[in-house]
Amino acid sequence: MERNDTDLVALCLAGHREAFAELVDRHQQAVFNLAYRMTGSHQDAADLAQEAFIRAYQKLYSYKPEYPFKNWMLGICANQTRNRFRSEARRRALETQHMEESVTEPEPQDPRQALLEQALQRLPEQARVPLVLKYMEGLSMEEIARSLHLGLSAVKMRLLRGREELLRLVHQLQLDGGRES
Amino acid sequence: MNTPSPEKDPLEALHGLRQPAPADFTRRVMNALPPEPELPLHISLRRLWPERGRWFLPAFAGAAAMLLLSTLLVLHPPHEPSNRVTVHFEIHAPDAQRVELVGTFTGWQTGQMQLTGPDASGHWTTDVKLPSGRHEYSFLVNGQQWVTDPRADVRRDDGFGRENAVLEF
Repeated sequence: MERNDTDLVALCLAGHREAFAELVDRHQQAVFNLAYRMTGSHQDAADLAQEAFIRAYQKLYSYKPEYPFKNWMLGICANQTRNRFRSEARRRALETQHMEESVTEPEPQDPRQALLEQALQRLPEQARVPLVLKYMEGLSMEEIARSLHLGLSAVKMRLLRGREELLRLVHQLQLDGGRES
Repeated sequence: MNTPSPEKDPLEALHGLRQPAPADFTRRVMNALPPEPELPLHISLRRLWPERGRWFLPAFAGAAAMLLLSTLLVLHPPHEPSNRVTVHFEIHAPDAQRVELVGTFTGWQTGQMQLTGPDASGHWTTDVKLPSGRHEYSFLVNGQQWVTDPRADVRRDDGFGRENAVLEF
């Protein structure tokens, strides 16, 4: 019988350290993807996602079972990554790095997805993260608010403005592409 | 007769852009884990609780604090929430087809508060009852253009290159 996340956390707290590996297996993609979307670098994302899991393990006693483990992990990852990259200079350096990196990475097959990818990385972080949590991880607005320690109204505003800005950027990239070809 | 299917949200395609973690990620995490989770504060504090039979003093102190708090609440009850205040919103947009008010009080949802207009001088207006507190808002003209209230005394950068008007009373 498959054990749920709460069972696995209980096993970890009872001294079965290996149960944490199953939690990492289940949620690594969501956590890594969020870290990647916040840093724009595979290497930094791997380091930060790893730190987020270690932090979660250290604080495992504070996990509340009524809250999905995945959302708890995403909140830890988002807040930890934001704290680490608070320096504006570091962020700018990462954005430049990502722009260089994205040139060498294989582009998605669907050209619309490629445009979406470019547009997403150009969004301000405060809009990008809620969009990632909603459209990539399927969190509700209430869950996003709780994970990011934001008010519900702030999340709604960021999603509304972020969505508009993302679609505007996609349209702009389409126009730029049309002019170049 | 075929009914047209609802238009697909273009942002649904974001789900296909999820990045997979490196292949050896779980092993890396497990190798770096500390021996065991940290002991939480409430368990640490529980160890400070007096031994059996020595609980009288902390229990008495707690009961006294509760009694004091209850007395203070009776003598100085918390204020009742103040009434809602009618706020007049107005913007000059003679060429607009539609103007709406969007803000924290609509949960930043569009399509809820339409302004009436334009009048002879090109103004759009509405009166809204709002609870006391701090509110942020913006006008949305023709469903596309965000316009900050030019009459607002206080504005706040929304982080997207625009400003929200701030109202506090």
